[in-house]
Amino acid sequence: MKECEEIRERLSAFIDNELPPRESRLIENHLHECPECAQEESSLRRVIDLLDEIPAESPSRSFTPATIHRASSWKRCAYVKEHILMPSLTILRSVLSAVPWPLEAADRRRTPFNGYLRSFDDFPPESLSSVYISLIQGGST
Amino acid sequence: MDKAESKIMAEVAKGNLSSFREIVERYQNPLLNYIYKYTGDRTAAEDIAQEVFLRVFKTAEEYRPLSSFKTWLFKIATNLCLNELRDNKIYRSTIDIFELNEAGFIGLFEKSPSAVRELENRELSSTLKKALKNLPENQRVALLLHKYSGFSYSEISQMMGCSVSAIESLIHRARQALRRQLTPYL
Repeated sequence: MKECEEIRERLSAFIDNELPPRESRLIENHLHECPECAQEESSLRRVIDLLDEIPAESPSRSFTPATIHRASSWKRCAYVKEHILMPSLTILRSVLSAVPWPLEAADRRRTPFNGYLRSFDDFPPESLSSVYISLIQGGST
Repeated sequence: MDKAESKIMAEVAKGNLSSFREIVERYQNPLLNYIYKYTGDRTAAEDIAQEVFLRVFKTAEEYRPLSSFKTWLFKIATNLCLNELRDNKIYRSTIDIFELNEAGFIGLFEKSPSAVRELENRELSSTLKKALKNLPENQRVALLLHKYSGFSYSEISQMMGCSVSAIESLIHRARQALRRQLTPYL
């Protein structure tokens, strides 16, 4: 009954019309002649039909407005970051790096103040605090 | 993806919110239903669907209209569902409207035959959701994408990154497993 085994393996694809026409016809003919395989096919079809019993869900009324609102907020944040925050930080950084610091670099590395700053290296990347610390450190070295 | 849809996506990439609304309104129903059947959790499904649309908005520039938009969208949805499940963000309760109503079972029974039918439908629906949840993830994804979202084996194979014959096998195994679990209803 090797033929039956092979046919049964392909029954789902047959039911879903995913087989080439020739192979599909072969299976169809086999199902007319073999009651066991026909029974197998009809039980698979019943499983498929049964899955229609799960009712379809509709999104809540607030779904679309809430989704649009989130996209709009993200768009605003992205705009502020790209067109205001980043250019401002770039300018600030270049201004700070141009400021002459009163102490020599070597002295500054030794000062407790700078050492204190260096210990603040665990802010989340890109957080305002992290940017601030990197600006201060960048400007002082 | 049809031409009109590719134009809409080009507008979304420019940040056009009314085009984005068009995409949301067009796909919210099929997407929510796919995610709901995947997770079995109505609230989580809506949260994930919203996240999927937001990701579409954020990454619209990366979308290339060479492939179907629907395929791209459902691929994002499948990945997010997998991540949520792996991070255990989705509660493992299979909601079970039936269980929630169990206390009121006698009351419903006494009410009317239609109430009994309603209860039976809910019980069946709950059993089906449980059976789907018990499937291995790849079988469940393949089956749901085919059954409820209308994707062909070939489209699913592109989304899941495997061969068409592997998809055929996954869907067949899924149905066999469901048949074993749903014997009393067959």
